Amino acid sequence: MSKVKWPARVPDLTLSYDSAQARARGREDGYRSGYHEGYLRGRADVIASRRADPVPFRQIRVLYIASGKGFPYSPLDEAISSTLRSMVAEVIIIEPGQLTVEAVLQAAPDLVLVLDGMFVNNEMMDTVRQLGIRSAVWLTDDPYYTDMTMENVKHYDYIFTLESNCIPYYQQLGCTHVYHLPFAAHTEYYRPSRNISPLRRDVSFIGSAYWNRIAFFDPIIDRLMQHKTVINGIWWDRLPKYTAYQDRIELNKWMGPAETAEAYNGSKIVINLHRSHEDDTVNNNAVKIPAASPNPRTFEISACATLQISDSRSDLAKYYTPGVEIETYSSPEELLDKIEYYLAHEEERRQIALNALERTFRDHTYSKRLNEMLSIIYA
Amino acid sequence: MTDRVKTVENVAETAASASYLQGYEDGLRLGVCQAVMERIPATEPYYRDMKVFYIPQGFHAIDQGISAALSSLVRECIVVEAPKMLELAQKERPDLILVLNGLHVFPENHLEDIRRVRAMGIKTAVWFVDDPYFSEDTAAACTAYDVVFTHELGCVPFYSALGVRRVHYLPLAVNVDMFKPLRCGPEHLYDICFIGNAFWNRVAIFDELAPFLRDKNVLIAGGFWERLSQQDLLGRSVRLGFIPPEETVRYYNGSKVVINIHRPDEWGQDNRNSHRISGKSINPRTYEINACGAMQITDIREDLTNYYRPGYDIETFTSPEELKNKINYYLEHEEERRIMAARGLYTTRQEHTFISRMRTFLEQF
Repeated sequence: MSKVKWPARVPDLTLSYDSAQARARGREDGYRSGYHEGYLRGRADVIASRRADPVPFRQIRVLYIASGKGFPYSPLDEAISSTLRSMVAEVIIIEPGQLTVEAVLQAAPDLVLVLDGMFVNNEMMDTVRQLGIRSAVWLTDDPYYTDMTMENVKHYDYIFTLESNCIPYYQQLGCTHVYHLPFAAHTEYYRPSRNISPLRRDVSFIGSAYWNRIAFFDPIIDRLMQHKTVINGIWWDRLPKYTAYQDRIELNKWMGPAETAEAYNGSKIVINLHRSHEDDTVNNNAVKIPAASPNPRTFEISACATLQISDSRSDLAKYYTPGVEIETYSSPEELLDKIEYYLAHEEERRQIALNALERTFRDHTYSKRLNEMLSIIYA
Repeated sequence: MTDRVKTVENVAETAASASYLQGYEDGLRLGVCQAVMERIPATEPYYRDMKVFYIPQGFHAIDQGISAALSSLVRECIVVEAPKMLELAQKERPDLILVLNGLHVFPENHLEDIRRVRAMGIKTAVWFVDDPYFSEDTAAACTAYDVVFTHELGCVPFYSALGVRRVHYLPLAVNVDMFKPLRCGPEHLYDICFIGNAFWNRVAIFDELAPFLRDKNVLIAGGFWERLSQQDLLGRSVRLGFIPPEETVRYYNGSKVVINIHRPDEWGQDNRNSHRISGKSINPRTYEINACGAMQITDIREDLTNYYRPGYDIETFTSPEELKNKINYYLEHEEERRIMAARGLYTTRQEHTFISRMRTFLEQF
């Protein structure tokens, strides 16, 4: 990892500033920061080690068709398939290109479950239906690619979308079984670390520099970077002041779930800023369905026992209570004010971080979600 | 920035990173303890419409624990010193008087006073918590009360044989307002700690372990440790004299491993157990160490397994060699040490507080 330069502390030169005092202050600061980190990890570890509520085991065979899109979908595939394995008799996993009549006949599944479905041949799904096998798709990019999904959904028995705003659209198309099934945290990766963090950041933002994010961060970047802030993601060189802060912008560092979880764990505050549903440069959402549901990051950050400050989506409060399990902002100023408040109020920060962790491990895991899905299909 | 300021900042940063780890360790332990305590299920409320007198023995931590527990469970609990018991009973007319121990510093006419309050129709109970070490004295006192409680399993048949009609086994417990996880300063940090008087069985163990302990950070505190033969190896680790509970708590909290060794029950070994009753029950220290979220290694008393699960929430030894090996193991295995200590804390807070004990006590009336 590259060496990060932190902003220099501005010392008070009017004080007699000898090194014995500096040593004493350093010791005290170090102990206090160490104590805060240890205390949070100790509490978080006990919460995360709690045995999860048991979910029923089902005697069914599931043919799971992965997204086929590679990163960043592959961790999602892994989360779903590995969780599913512990819940049903058998899971057969194939890529969209492997979906043939022979493959279906050989697997003889009770259920064909498709993630995303963008690369799945819709005619094959019609064949599955003709074979009398139930099918379900979990749409994980809504509403950003609704131009395509609106056609795809017609070929499945059960539609699960993480975006509640998409439900009426799919129903209008004649789908009768449309349900809202939000993301969750894959707690195998996204969980509080047991160990002292190799990173010690005040603030992190991880995500691609969509234009809405550039527009948001540009006016506040100087104040934001006064803290130990690190930004990670592609396209951040679009930021006008990129060169001034490039030592703390990880532009081309792709991080998998384990590394991302480490960054969340090593940050006092993690910012979440959802992408825009109106950004035509990256979206295929011609009907401009607004996004109400939180992104997967919402759950993943909260699973790492850190304070998340998120822009507010209308559904957010269903998952985390603002002010108790998450913090929200509706303007750049509010974000900065909250960052500065919580950096100065560790106990309050810690309480929200622990509440978020507890809520996530209780309510927002993939086993909860998949159990909900199977309970609907096998009602 | 001037060069001088830079140097000073470097000094501060170096000092900070060195103490970060100590802070982290302390924070981690207390964070685990806090989370463990938050997981303890709430107990069902219990209330008795009674006025109770509590007559303390002068065991500060235990007295406080019992009176606080009684106050939360009955209409009124008044703490009354033994010499004032009779006079105040006439005025206050309590439903029940609980005497702790009634030994050592109690006035000579105490049993006479007990007879008088009984004559007033007030129920009296004694809870012997020094059994079996003062059986000579308790044998003489036990029949004066309506009900006898003993923390010592081995004493129940003894009191019955002496003619006490109602004898109950009531194990000790811990005052969790005093014995609790807390952060302590560098002066309380040790690898290994033992606090208690130097009974000869304890002396023998420490003398034997002296070569092993000499290069470790050890505290042996309490009375009579001049009995040790290996003064040259252990002298620097000994702190002579009584340690008040408030300070004991800090040593337990600051130590990686806390040792517990029961006092000898053989007659004449610094005790007045002339009836030679064998000790089967664990001492208050067992609960107190675990209530601090500290890792405990104890010698075994018969009823230990009724209260803790050896290897799960407490560790045990049967020989100095085994003690040495287990100390070594747990000093090296921090995670195991922390987990066991956390479990010990959980068991203690859930089952062995004076609140739960006093509830059992009140159910007898």
